[in-house]
Amino acid sequence: MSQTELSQVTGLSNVIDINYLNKTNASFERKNGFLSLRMGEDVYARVYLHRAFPFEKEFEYISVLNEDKKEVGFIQSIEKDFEASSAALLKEELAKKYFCPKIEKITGMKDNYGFMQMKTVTDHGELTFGIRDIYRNILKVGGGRIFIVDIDGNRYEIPSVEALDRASYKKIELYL
Amino acid sequence: MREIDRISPGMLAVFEKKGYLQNDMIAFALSDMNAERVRTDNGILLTEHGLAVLSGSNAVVAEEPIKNNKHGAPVCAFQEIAYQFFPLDEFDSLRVEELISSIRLVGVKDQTYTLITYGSFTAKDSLVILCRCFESVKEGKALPEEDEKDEKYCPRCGRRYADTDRKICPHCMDKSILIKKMWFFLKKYKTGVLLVLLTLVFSNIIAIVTPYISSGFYFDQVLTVGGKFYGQLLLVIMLIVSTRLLQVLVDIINGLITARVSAKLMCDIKKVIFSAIERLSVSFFSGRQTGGLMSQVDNDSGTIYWLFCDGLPYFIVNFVQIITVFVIILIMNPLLAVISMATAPAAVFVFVKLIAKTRKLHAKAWTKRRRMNGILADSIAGVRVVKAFSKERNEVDRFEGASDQSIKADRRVSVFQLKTTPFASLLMQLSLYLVWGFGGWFVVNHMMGMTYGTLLVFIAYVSMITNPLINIVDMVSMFSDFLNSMQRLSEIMDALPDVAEPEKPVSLGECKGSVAFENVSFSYVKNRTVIDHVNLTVPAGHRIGIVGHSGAGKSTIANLILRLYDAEEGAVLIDGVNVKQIPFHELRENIAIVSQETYLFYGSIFENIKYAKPDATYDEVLMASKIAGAHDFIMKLDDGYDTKIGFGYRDLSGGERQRVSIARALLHNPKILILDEATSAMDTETEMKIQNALDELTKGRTTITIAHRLSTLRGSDRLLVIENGKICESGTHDELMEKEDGVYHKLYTLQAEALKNIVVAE
Repeated sequence: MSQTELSQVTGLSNVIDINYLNKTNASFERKNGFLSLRMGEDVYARVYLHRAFPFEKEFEYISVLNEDKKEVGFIQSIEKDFEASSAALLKEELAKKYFCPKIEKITGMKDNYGFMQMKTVTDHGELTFGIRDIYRNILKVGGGRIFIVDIDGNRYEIPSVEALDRASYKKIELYL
Repeated sequence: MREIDRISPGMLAVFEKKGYLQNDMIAFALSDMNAERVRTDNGILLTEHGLAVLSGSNAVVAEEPIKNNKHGAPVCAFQEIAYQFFPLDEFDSLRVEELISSIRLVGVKDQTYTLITYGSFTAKDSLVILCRCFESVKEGKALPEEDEKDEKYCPRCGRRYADTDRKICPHCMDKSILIKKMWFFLKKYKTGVLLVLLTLVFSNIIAIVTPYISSGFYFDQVLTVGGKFYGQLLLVIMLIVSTRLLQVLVDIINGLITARVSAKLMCDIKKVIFSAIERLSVSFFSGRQTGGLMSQVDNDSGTIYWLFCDGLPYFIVNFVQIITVFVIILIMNPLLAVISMATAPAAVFVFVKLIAKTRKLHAKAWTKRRRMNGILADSIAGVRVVKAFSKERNEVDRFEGASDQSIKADRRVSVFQLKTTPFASLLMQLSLYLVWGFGGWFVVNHMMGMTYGTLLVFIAYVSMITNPLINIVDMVSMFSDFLNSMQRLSEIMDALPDVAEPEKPVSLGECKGSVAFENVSFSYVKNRTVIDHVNLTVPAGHRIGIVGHSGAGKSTIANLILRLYDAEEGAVLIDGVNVKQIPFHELRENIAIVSQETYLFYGSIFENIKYAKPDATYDEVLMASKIAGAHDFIMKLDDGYDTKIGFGYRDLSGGERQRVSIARALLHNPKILILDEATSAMDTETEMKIQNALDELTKGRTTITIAHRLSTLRGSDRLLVIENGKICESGTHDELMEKEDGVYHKLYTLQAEALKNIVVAE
């Protein structure tokens, strides 16, 4: 749906303007490993990306924030609105920010005096961590995808609980 | 060197090899990820010359034994993978950037950024402290103070605590301490507990004797020709009936004592929990982990109760029964005794598995039930929204789905138990049939002195073993739950309040009401300063207004005066005495606060107003309510001051609650009155009325008014503007208005502008 169609549907865009970024008005660059943005006259030495719908839209609806975490622009779709090279850059930056180990196997789960100790094999090696109040620290985002938050606030993703092997599934099943 | 994290000897050796002298090392912290986001051990060493980052892995190669600890302390070897050095003048500052599930340490100079290392959130606190150390080195100041509460390592084995807020090391946990703690509850009821055990044992002895009389003795000596008591039926029947009667009596006595002791015990456990709630400081409950801990402990009391009242006594009795009965049958006929236990190991094994599975299913059913109740509570609380968007159907569907799942889970538990338990029991009883067979054969062939009577006694005894065996398996499986519950409870019992009553209290005497902050700093969460080196003085009887953005730290100032929290640095003084030295009752007698949270207890409005002064007269309550502007609305209520809050469907509005709270504070008649957004939910007219009334009352009283609506602060002698935890401006309204680029000026203009716009719109 284009922007004009969108405005006809909701009528909200008559009231508010979102500064949508695309290849014509914005160019992203990497300096010393960090993302910077040029928007016409304005240059932002450092910008941050933030997904608006992190569980549903990986590369769409992304807010671009400045140093003070204020929004300077908004990307509707990385793939549609940017050249391949910029898109790749943005995707890399998102991958850095949203990095989260994916659990492939659960090798142990044990309640240890009020916190759960979980031993896992992830796509980034073997990880062991503690979870406090497990029922509140499993975030279900639909389609069997879950995030587990450990004591320190680190997240671990299980892309699909059903796709886990049987032994792993049986260990976590109880808390779902 | 300041070891924010512990440096392993291996890593230290590598640093030394690279030419770093121990004397030059200033601070050390660990981070735990490399650029590929794989776990590594990155040591970050701060020296006078710069930052050295050494990444590699600390692998556990051995465990050094510790006395009474089966795990031992880990011994690590370090293997270097990468090394980098950043000179001190390459960065102006360091900072920790939070990503979604990881962090990075970044060096900043002007507008250039340099990545130093990645880490998980586990490393965050340490790196934040490292950043502060870096700052100190840059400025040539002393390192920030060390906080003892930050100890991250178990003192016994040196492992990092899984949860640094709760100092429990699963490796070094001593279970016997928990068992000893149990005694804390039981010792009060020594006699009761002893009696319960005695009666249980006695009842057990009777149970063991009964089969002998009713089967063995009856058949062999009474019914068999040539028996000692042949034909004396009446005597035997009376003997049987009287032993049975005796057992019933003992059981009744046992039940009575248990009921008494257990009720008291439950009460004790709840009291321990509740007194902890009242004793511990506010910070204990606002901490995210302890909040959960508290509610869990309430459930735990059930588990502990179960163990004391059902679990432990029956465990002992069952255990004793198994042993004695087995010894008896072993004496009666060793061969048959062994045969009778033939299938027991297999049966116990099956039961262990079954019980584990059943508990899992129960837990699942519980989770589903919890979800269903959650949805129910959710849609009832949000009923206005549901109706406003006419989504009743969706809510019903949502509930139906959850309810359906819950029923299914419940059914699964019953079906599983129905299908499996009888078979497992049968397995247990198989050996009983073996006894029937072999025993019968012995009787028929007159072998091993086996008679019809002894066989019957034997069979009765064997069945007295099987049931207790299953019970014990069941209890053992619940024992781990009990240990967890006991652990949480003992944590709460042992927790010390952060804000403690002074050891050597200094009495204020007649309180005058001056308040002073001397270089006070405070943070709720480590490293996030809310109050930053604040100095302020409020002479006795002055009226001070504090203004600032939300989150600037206004309410924290009130919390510190009231000593709900203690200042981390500096001192809060009342009449020149540090609040830490003033006894609690005196401190709170002289200060009253009306805060944003206006909590009213269940009870009448009258009771709520005189909460702080239970002996207040009717007239006093009336006067306080009049000043607080509460009287008029209270008189519109059918039951006036006796209106029960929360009763029926009448609840007070936000503004009404605030007025009741103000009345409550006024009745307390304090020297220092703190009004923390106390009138925020009222309309301007009501607010003004109350202010006018308060003006009279607050003369000669120290009053601290906190607000973001400037009109609330009218009549203050002096205004303090607070921003980011610092007092950035202070003075009278006129003085502050003179600074045209000042924060106050800006706030005032903004609020005045907003009012102007309303007029235009009309």
